[in-house]
Amino acid sequence: MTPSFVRGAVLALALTLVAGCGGNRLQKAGDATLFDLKLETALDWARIRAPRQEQWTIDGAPLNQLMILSRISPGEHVFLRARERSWRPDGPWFRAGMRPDEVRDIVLDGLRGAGWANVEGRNLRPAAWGGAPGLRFDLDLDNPTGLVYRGVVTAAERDGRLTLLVWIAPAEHYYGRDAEAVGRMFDSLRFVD
Amino acid sequence: MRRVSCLLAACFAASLAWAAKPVATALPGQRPPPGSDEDELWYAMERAERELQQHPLLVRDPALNAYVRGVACRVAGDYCPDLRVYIVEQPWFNASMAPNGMLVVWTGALLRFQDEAELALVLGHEVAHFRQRHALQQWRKARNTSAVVGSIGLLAFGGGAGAAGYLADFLGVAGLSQFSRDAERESDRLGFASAAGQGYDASAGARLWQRMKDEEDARSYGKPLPVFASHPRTAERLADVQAAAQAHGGGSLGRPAYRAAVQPFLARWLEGELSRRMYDTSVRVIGDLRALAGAEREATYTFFLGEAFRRRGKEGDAVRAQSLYEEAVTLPDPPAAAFREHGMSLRAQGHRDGASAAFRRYLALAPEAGDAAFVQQYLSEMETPR
Repeated sequence: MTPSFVRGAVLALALTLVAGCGGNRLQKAGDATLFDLKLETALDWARIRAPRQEQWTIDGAPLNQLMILSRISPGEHVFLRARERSWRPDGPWFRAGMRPDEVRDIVLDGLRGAGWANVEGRNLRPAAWGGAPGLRFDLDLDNPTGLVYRGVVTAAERDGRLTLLVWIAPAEHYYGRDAEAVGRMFDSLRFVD
Repeated sequence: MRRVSCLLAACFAASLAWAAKPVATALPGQRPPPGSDEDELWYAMERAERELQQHPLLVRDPALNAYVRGVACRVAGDYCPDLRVYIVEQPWFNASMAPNGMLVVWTGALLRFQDEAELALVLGHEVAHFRQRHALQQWRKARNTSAVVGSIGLLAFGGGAGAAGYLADFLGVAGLSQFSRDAERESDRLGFASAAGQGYDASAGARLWQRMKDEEDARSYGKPLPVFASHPRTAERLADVQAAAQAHGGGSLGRPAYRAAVQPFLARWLEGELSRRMYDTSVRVIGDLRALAGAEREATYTFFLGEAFRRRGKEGDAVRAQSLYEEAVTLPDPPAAAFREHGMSLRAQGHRDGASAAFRRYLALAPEAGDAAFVQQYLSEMETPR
């Protein structure tokens, strides 16, 4: 287990503990509202909740995890891990008005920084969230022990802040099982007031 | 963890018994005496090596591996059968030698080398660590000092804890790869002799270390380059290699062979360089590569230097980037992405026709580009009558 993955695990644990305060719960298939988002899912999920982020999973995070990060501010790490400092200006910080490929790149570099290997993005494409312009791309990546994962990322900027959903699952069985349902779920994303 | 502790205890006990014995140069094909502290070190490293062999960042391309191993064997001579060479996809400059003959080269080093002579010099240096058994010396020295804590990294890695993060910590930065300055000087001297003895250019070290110093000087934040963590002071080292080069003189660069070997990976390694997100040093590194590039690579380096400026985003960088993209697309064999970025520059300046032409060229050169859908969208927006 790498230090980055240990940090990730600690973060996940912290998320779980914090989530205890906010209340974890099951998300049954159907409509869901979280933060300023609305979506429709055909899958049942366990929801682990924390301020401005949630982790959803069906079989446990190593087998499928959906990270939902809300209202990432300019100068914040794309996975809300830190804030930009003057002595470290080049990190994967979100900036308002980023190009779609720049948003993709901070996500990919954020994943690399979290310990994932051979992280590649494919098929970056427009993906409207209702009336709001967004983006979507596919992911290929390996965990530190070499297990091959795939995933899908979608993001949209609203009022200068970024909302990001990253779904990752092992390429063997789990990705193929749920990819279509997750794609439809991403299609249903809307901002709500 | 218990397994690691047992290994540590066994190694520590063995080291006490062997501490007083002087370390002789390894003979080709020599293995440590069974039960010795060196045997324990090898055991730990062999376990680490098995993990490395499964690691997702290992570069498995047969041609590149054969080339780098071939150069290693030239400078290793009779020790060649004792070495296993591994190339690891890591964008920093580093190479390391484990006590059991596991020689690791990072792709960041391969990107930065300009020719085979520079590669040979670094591999010769690493082989000298193996031949002189510096790791064993360091281990025996470490057992009586606080440095023993650093050596635990070796056992933790060998004990099954290794993965991507430890790869960086162990193979380049921590543990026994931090040899003493005397050991580094000795390896510099022997590595130089091996490379020069094989007919490589004697001034390769002076050129390489000057560029490494320039890169380190350009670093405005982050950790020092791994190679600077334990090695002699750069100025001191530069003086040594310059003196050695003057005394020896001449030699071959092996530039065409080196360039042919790394050419297929260049764009990927340059992307990796940018993914470090240390743009001040990337500007320096890619600028150095561009300055010495042949005509066949100039467009690639020009484009990636533009990317380093654009992504850095300091005052004036956008204009520098635009100028470099504009130049890149006029050079022979430019990367497709140079047309995309040139198109983005023109689009931002309101030059719709020029931008459209550049985007179309990009899509013609890279119809399967990962961002083709967005570029199509830009085209549609620009070409829709207002």
